[in-house]
Amino acid sequence: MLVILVFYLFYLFLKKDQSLLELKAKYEHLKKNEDRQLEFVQQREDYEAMMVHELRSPLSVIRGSADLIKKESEKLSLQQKDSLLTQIFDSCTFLLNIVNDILDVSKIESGRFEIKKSTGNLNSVLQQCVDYYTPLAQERDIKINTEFDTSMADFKFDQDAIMHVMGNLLSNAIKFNKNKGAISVISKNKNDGYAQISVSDTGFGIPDDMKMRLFNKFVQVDNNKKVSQKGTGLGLVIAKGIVESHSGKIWIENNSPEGAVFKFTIPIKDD
Amino acid sequence: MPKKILIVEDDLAFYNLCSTELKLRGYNTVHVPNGDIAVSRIREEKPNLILLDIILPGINGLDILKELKEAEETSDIAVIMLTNFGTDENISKAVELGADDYLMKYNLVPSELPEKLAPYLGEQSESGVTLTG
Repeated sequence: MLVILVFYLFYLFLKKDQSLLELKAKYEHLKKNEDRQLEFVQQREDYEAMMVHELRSPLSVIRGSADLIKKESEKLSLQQKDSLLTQIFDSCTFLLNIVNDILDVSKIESGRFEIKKSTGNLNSVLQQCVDYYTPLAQERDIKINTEFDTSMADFKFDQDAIMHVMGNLLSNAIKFNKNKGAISVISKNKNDGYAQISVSDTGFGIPDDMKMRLFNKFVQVDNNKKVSQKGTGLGLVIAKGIVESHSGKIWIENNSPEGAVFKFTIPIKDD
Repeated sequence: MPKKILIVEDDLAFYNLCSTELKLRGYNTVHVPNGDIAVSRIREEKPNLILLDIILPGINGLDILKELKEAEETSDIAVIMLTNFGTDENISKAVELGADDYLMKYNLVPSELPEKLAPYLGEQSESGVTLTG
């Protein structure tokens, strides 16, 4: 009888231990989910704060310029008035671009984003982008080098959309670079039916755990320098959408010895 | 001698707004577009007041504020944060670090700027009340 009782108590002990283990596993699973949700909420809040900042900045300039023209009209020279009107125009264009980015992301997320392919020269599109961004890079003594594969014939791609991708990658490479840094833009015919374009910088790089998440909405590189970086964070979401609409791929690698390399591919062959 | 206001602001358009208004009211303005060079320029220029943005290329405005308030040479200069990044966390941090005021760009039009700065420049405000910094 005593033996049966001992076995029964031992069975209850094991069962209790097993239940505790199950409870612990359930707790850890819930805790992990909660951590993920909190992280997402934090990312969303940071994103919203940055988006509000990006919208308020051009609005502040528009409102302020209009205030000056209205209240100080007699004291302002013609040149000053012209400069204020230019600021209003430029800020409106900047705001319009943000609105277009928001709409593009919405179309990408709902699968309604369409590309319009036409025959063009990839290297000349890349060169146009480099020329456009060179003055901005020069403001911080950043040099943009190019290495284009001239063996690529013209092929069909959405030239405006690829310019948009390159614009986003180059503006990031300037923004996240150090003063007197360098940027390399390289095109290559991979001889597997795809062209590969890479944009490398000499900035502070991207942590491994951020590499794929950066292409998601609400995510920007933190690196404890969050408050120093501007931008809506939509650029890479749009870049990924455009590249994937071409049936290409986009990813990030480490640059050596410092910085990051953004690479993407687009098919050379016609559909 | 006109009072000197140093503006740490990477948005050239917004700097132009502040500078145009302040120059019309007889102040001198100095532009610093990058956080990395802000503290050294402030030491050189010895302004009467600093307008300081938070989100800047290089060192951010809160770190600049900390450095200014910790150094004996610059701790007495009035610093007014002028930003569109108005999270509660940033406002509390700026106040804690010794910012004299925290103004939101989107809430401010240039014609209001001299009135807002007058108390920190030891001047009489346009409403006629004598204010001291």
